Amino acid sequence: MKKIIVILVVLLTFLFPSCAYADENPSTDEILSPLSEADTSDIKDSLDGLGIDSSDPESVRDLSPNKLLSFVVSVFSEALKTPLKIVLTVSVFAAFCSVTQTLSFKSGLYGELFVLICFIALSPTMVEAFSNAVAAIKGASRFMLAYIPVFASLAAASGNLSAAVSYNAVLMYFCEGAALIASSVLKPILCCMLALTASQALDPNLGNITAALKNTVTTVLGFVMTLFLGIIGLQTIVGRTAEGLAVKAGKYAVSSFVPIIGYSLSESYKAVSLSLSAIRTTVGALGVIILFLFALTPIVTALVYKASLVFCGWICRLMGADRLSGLMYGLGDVFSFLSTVLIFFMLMLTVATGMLILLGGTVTA
Amino acid sequence: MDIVKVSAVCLIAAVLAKVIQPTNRDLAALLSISAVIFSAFAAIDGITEVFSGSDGILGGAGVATGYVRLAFKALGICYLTELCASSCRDCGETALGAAVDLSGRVAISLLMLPLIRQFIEIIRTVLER
Repeated sequence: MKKIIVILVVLLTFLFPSCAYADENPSTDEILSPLSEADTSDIKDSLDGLGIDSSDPESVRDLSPNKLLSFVVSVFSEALKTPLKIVLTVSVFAAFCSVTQTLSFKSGLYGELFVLICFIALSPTMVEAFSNAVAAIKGASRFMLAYIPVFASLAAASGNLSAAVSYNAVLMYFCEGAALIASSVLKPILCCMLALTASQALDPNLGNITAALKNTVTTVLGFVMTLFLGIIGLQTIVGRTAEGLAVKAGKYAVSSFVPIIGYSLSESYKAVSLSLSAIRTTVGALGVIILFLFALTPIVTALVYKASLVFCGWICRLMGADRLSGLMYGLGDVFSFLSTVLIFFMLMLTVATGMLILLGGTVTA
Repeated sequence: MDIVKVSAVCLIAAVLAKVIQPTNRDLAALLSISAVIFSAFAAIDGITEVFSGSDGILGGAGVATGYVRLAFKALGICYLTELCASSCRDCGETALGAAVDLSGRVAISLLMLPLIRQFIEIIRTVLER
């Protein structure tokens, strides 16, 4: 009986198979559209302002410290506008709050009212700053997803294949992860921290949760950065030496066994290798500059917000508005967290690319 | 608002009230309450200027001035409650003073209700993003 049932089941399985197959013609538009969605118009304008032509990587040499400094100053001045308004607003409410200190009747005005007012007035600008930072991370990730394979190919052609493979694999993984985290994790965390800041300002018994979160994330990011950069660095250095040996052996074989033109051939490889290294270096430098431009505005904005909120906290403490001061320091912790994440993201990509620029070629004698 | 005039009126009223209190307590109480009302009205002139100044500063910074009005309303309720409750206690009516205190707390709570609703709405919107 059991055998009959088993045979029937097998026959039915063959009669009603389930089909599974890969897409025969994957649309290249579907693959390329996320890359083309990256808004690079601001970056192109910034590159023009710095005197760098994106179609000519050699123009990177024209970048002077003066131009870079004036660009950074202009970004800083632009970023300062909204935080100054915040300082003004908070100072006025801190002054009102300090007036209530003289009252013996303080019900509802023991800072809670002003904490609510300041939070309601400031939260829209802060959420907008979070959105801009998340958009910058996504834009930089999209740029890197197109840039990494190109630069890795140049590094591989320059002779350091293992470094190129490591760079490609680790940074592609990192960029995809960063884009995913930015869109689905970072902004919700920032918004939760914003809500927690208001709660801990209204009820000081809650403790400083935002500071604890910020310190934890900073430690974890530092560890992750050390790990990733260590992997790329070690593989770059080890691969450079190993492949240098292979190149020397190949050159020796060519110069020894190829008659008449053997020596010329082996020396011409050196010329080709050096020219590829030059291309790798200029493309790498251009990539680093573009990364810097992607990350500069949100980082400067986050740092300026943090500085202004800490200053507001200091003013509030000076005027005796302790709860308002707690709110300001808490909001400063949120922007400190945001700037840590942005700096970590930029440093990871910049240092990894820089390592490959400096050490990505083979050792040539 | 001339602070010298206000201070002088209050001091004189306090001294006079102290002098006539043993003989005529009702008149002393009336005198002190009148001085309080005079000072309050004198302060209102100054408060109006502070209010319009703060409105101008924050309006220029692009901040909604409704919050400044709210803060001033709350301050006004607090000071009115403080002055009335203290005057009642000065007249020996502690229960009336407590009643004024309670009314002041209820008025502040009613003032804060729309703020609390808006705060919860913002938290809900922020967490839903």
